[in-house]
Amino acid sequence: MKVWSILAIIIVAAVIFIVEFPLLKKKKKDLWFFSLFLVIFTAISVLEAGEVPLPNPLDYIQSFYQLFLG
Amino acid sequence: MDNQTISPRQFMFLVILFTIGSSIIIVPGPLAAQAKQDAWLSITISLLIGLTLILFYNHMAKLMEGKTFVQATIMVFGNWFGRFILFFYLSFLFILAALVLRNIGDFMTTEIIPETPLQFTHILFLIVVIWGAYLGLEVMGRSAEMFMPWVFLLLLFFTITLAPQINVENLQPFLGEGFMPVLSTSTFVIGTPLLEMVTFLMIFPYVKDAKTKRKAWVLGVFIGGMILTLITLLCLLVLGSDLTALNTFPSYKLAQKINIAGFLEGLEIVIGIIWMLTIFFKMVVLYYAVSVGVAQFLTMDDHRPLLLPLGMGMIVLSIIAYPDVAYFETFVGDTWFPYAFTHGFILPAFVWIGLIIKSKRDKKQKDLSSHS
Repeated sequence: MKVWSILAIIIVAAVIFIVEFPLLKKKKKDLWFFSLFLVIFTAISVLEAGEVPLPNPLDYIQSFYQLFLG
Repeated sequence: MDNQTISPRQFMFLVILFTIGSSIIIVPGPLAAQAKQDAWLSITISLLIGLTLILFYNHMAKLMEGKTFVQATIMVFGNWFGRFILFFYLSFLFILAALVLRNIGDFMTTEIIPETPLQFTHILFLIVVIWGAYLGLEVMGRSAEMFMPWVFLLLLFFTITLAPQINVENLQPFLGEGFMPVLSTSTFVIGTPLLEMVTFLMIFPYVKDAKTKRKAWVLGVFIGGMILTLITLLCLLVLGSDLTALNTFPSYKLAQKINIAGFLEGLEIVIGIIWMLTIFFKMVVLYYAVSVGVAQFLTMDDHRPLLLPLGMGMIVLSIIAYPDVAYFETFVGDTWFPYAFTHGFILPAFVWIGLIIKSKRDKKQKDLSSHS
């Protein structure tokens, strides 16, 4: 099950890249940022699908505001 | 991004739908828990504060001179410090969008499709949102215009069918707990949805007609706030404050009470449709603002390539955000207001001061050059 969902995420990311690439060929900067976001978020999704415990940003927000509110 | 504009009326409808979306789920419960039978009063108070907040945003939008919040901040504070501020602004919008997605996901899995895993509900819902954000602001405005009558009609239907079950004694004693709980819970509604209105600083420049669009913003928040008050009032009148506080989805529970002459029942999906529509519009506005904001932050030509990758991140965030219901309740109850306040008021106020100083300086320079 784990393997299948990881595989599915990678296939989805590949499809997104194949769909967007022809449209971005001429715009180098857009292509770079798009690829950067895609790689980062695909990696995060794969980690999540692999049941690796990820840090929750809400925990940091909560502990930050607890400093003031006590 | 691509010179699409919407009319003030479409903008007003988007504001109304944004105000109702997701707040309609999360507001009545915690309010009734603390302010008891006076919960409706605390919404009215926060609405008044919220309207002054909108006047502030309006003044700010005037100073921004047709630039979005991201462009204006970079213009005032320069490339580096401006982007430092914007990182927090954009992360606020991104987290908010993920939490709103989680709201509808939680609702769907507990009440309507319990067998479907949360991820798939989120993915299905987000695909439609991405589609809307891909088509752009004009399509969003037009579809808001199309769905607004439906939301109004369903709300009207909902109110009329519940009218026979209203029990006015549920509202008594008026101010039985004193005025303090009413005041202290009013921060809840200011945090969600009123401070979230800061999202519209990304969309406001794309609205036509400078004069009427300011009125449209204020009127939109007012109507949306009145609808929230109406829903909370109905919850209190029919269920009473104790039952409202106990339920996760009080207004859904309320709709289950609809019973027309003993043969028409099970109409709770009516309120389900209102939720899905309003949350869809809230999501689409947030998603559009996030992707356009990130694109302007990185000075890209188009926001569309970002839509799908950001969506992948948003689904993961929406799933890990709340490990359980207790976490959700403490986060929304305690942390959300200060978090929304720093990003919805302090941060814009900081940029606002910068804008005032800059506009004064520009004026001086103009005077100097005209004299010489």
